[in-house]
Amino acid sequence: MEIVISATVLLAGIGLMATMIPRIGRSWRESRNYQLATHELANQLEYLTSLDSMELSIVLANLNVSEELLDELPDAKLAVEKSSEEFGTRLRLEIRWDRGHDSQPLSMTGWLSERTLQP
Amino acid sequence: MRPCLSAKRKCRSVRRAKCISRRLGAMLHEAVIVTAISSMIVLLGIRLLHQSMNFGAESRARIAFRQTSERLAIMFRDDVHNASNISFDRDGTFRIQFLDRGSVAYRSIRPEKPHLERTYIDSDGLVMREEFRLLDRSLVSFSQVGTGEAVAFEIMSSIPGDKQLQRHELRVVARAGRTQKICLQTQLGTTTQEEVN
Repeated sequence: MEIVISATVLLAGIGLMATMIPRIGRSWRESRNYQLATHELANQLEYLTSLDSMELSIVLANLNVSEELLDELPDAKLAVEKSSEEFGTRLRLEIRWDRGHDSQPLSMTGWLSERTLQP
Repeated sequence: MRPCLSAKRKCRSVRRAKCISRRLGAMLHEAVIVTAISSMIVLLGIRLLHQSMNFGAESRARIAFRQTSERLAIMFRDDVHNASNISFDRDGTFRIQFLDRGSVAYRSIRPEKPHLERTYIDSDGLVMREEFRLLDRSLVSFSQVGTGEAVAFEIMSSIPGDKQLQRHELRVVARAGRTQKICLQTQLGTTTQEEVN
């Protein structure tokens, strides 16, 4: 009787661990990818804001995720939205990648100085 | 009738007594099976406990590393943006020189327990040293990107069970002297505006 009870408790524990371990692993991977994606947006935005208007329009037309991160962020795609505002030109970068579930893209906004736009 | 009944009762009581005497002990094969099952349960229990403790330690290390790497990324960006000159040593040390004659050096130490050391020497020669604990099995690299104005700071870690396969834990690219350029641009812009007025 005691053996049956302890075996049941142990099996329940194993079952719980077996479902928890992959979930925690997935959560670690997601948090790592989220951090990588955030830094990727910051890196791209820093690069874009250092360009003049001619270079910027060429780069924006062929904007891609860094080659180094293509393996890390599956199906990663960058999108950019450029708009003129009171404080200057606004660049809104958006990154999407396959997270295995429906999710909102990650976005970051930067402003270009007038000097950057007029070389 | 009576003698017969009493004989039957006697017979039953003898059987019961035999049964009880049999249940007081255990057969060898029963004892072996019980011992084997209980030792298996104990072993599985120990393994489960060990696994959960390892998992807890790994989780704590990862959370600490996330916080450390965020702080490192901010410091690295700030240092590179304020740089007047950058250089890479052969041993992997990355050096940044500031306009005020201060300098910062980043280098990886203790490969068996990876740490990143940041040494700041200010213009008066005052030294400040910080150590950042990284994940086990991780590697740090600093490299020039593109034309050389930008510097990439990467932390890679190998996957347990496959040391050849490495994945990024952090990748930060910063442009050297960005703050000074922005300041210069702002000053120029202000001057031009004043001239216009």
